Amino acid sequence: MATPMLRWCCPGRRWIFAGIGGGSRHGRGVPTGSTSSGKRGQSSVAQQPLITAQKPRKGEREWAAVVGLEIHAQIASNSKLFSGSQVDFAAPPNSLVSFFDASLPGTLPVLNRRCVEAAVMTGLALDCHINRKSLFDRKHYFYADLPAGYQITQQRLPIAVNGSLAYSVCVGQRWSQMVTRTVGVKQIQLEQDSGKSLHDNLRSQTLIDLNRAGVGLLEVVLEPDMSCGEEAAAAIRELQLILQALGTSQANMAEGQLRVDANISVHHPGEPLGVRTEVKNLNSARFLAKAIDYEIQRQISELENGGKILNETRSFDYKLGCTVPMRDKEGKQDYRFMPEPNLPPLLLYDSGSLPTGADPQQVIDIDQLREQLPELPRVTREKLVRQYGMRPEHSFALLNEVGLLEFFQNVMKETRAEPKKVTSWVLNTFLGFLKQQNLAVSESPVTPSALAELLDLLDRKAISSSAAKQVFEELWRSKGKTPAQMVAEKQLELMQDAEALELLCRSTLETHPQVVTDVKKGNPRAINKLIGLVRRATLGRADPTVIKEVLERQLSS
Amino acid sequence: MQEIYWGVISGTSQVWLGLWALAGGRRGFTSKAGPRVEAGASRRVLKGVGQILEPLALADFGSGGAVARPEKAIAFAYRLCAVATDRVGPVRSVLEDGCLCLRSDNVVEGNCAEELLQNSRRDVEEYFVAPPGRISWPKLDEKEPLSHC
Repeated sequence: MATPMLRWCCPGRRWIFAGIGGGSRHGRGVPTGSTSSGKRGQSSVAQQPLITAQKPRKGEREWAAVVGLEIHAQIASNSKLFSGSQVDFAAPPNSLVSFFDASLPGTLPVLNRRCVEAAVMTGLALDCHINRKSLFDRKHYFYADLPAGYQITQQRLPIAVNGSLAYSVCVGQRWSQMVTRTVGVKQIQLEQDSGKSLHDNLRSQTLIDLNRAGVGLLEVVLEPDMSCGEEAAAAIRELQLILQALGTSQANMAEGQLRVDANISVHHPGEPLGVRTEVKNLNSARFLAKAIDYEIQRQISELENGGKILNETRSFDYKLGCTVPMRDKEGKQDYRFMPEPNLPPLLLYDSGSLPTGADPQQVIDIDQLREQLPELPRVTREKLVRQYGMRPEHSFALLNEVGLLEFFQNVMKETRAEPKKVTSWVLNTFLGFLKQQNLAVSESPVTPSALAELLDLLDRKAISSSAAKQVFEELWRSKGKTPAQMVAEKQLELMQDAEALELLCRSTLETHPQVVTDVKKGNPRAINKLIGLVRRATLGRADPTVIKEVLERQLSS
Repeated sequence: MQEIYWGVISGTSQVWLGLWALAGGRRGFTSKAGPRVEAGASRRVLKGVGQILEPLALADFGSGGAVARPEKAIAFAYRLCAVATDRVGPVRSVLEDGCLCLRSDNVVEGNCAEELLQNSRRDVEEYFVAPPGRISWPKLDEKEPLSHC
């Protein structure tokens, strides 16, 4: 059976992806886990280049995909949302659990001020309307890691609504062609996290650790304004950066601090929206786009083959690289939402409405929080572009790695080299070494001062750029010596004696008449041979460009 | 006591009233006569709703005694139809006008694993052992590498 050419386009980018059987970036056939895990050095899914496919053939209809996201971010706080037990990632099982978290009778929830501030700050950063009054509800379902049998959440009236998140995707082949898109933020709500369950198959039992039960979560619901995995991954990445800049969540997907569920459907442009599926377990930044794209393709395949899409929940299987339906024996879940009877409405104020004589500990002023908002990534990037004339994609790259921006700024403080040079060294050489050895910026053996000194030497033309690279490698491997010391030891300084260079060039020309003839005949590569010879004669201490200049001058005279 | 009762009413009667409205029941009741719903009607509805509620609430809707209280609750809630409620919002919580106290973000409790585990019939190396039963499907995504269910 001939595999059909399936195509869908990401409307904003005017792309058409060929599906199975075509030249798509997913390769031939169903993407398997092995193809993706083989790639190293991909720090962010959003950085993958795009491949364009062919235009649709006559008679073939285009597909459009609709992707909405629900993101759960663990709030960075000392204690939990409604109790005073500690929030920590790794601790002995059930050691960070209070009587309330274990849902023992007679306990009541008391709201953590820090969690409310985190929610308001996130809402402000995403341009949301902050509801001055929000309510708490109970969402009921039974599972062993939910001791109360319900989760306290904000279903009816959440703390923030109607915002937007701006993110950038690259269009075209090169990373430098970037466009900004926005996705609507439907709402942000405060809710409790559940405990963790471990399935012990050997003894056929489920073990429960309630350390995570009751930890504060921010649920951010994004409108279905995205149309492919790459856009979703870029939006998630920007949200991560925002949360980290605000300090409201560490948003580390690997540690479960940021979890994403996607709602995906496909339809022909101009026709009504299709049936959507929910894909859970998208907890890896690397596989997020892949999983979403797989599901889009699966739905297109299914529909093109005359099948139907079920409104179901699926899970992404990382090993197989595909989405699989989750067991659905119980039919549709009904959470029986009801108002949380133990919590009055949450009231927030602004400077105009602050009640007089109120205890400041009990009152949250939205305007005060707005003033204290730290700089958002988007603003930081704009400043970099303005201050240093940096290319936008470079500003993205600097913010994409923890500590890299600070490193860059520290180097800039101590060097006289041009920003362009510094940017290039930091993003290419420095980052390259880090990635090769899988190190974080904080683990770098090269300090900003050392790099600054090296760049100064280069800037003064005291050494050539190849010598500089050599010194950098040395700095990386061994500590204790400054760049200046290394240059002196290895005698890498550029020749400053112009006369000596002239003599060397002339003697090289005289001892290699055949090569000289080749050059005069017009052979473009012959001059490089001469340059190489002179370089060797100078023991690598002359700048090739200068050598070339001198040789050309001498040859033409 | 009143709060708990309200919870029961809002939980079950919302479902019941919803079903009733779907069946076009609303139209019949305009008002002032203070309608009394016959025991038979409420029992019929409970039978249908009960099948859905049993697994969700782990409540028993099978025996006569078990349905007596919900029946009374539904009948009571139904009396609200006699009240004109145009442009009047419902009281969703008796704490509507209450003051929500905020707590400072300090660690003041926890570290009592031993005490908590005493409540559990079985435990394994400081983990609770979950009682056997169906694992509801929305939570199957949180599998740790150990499992293959």
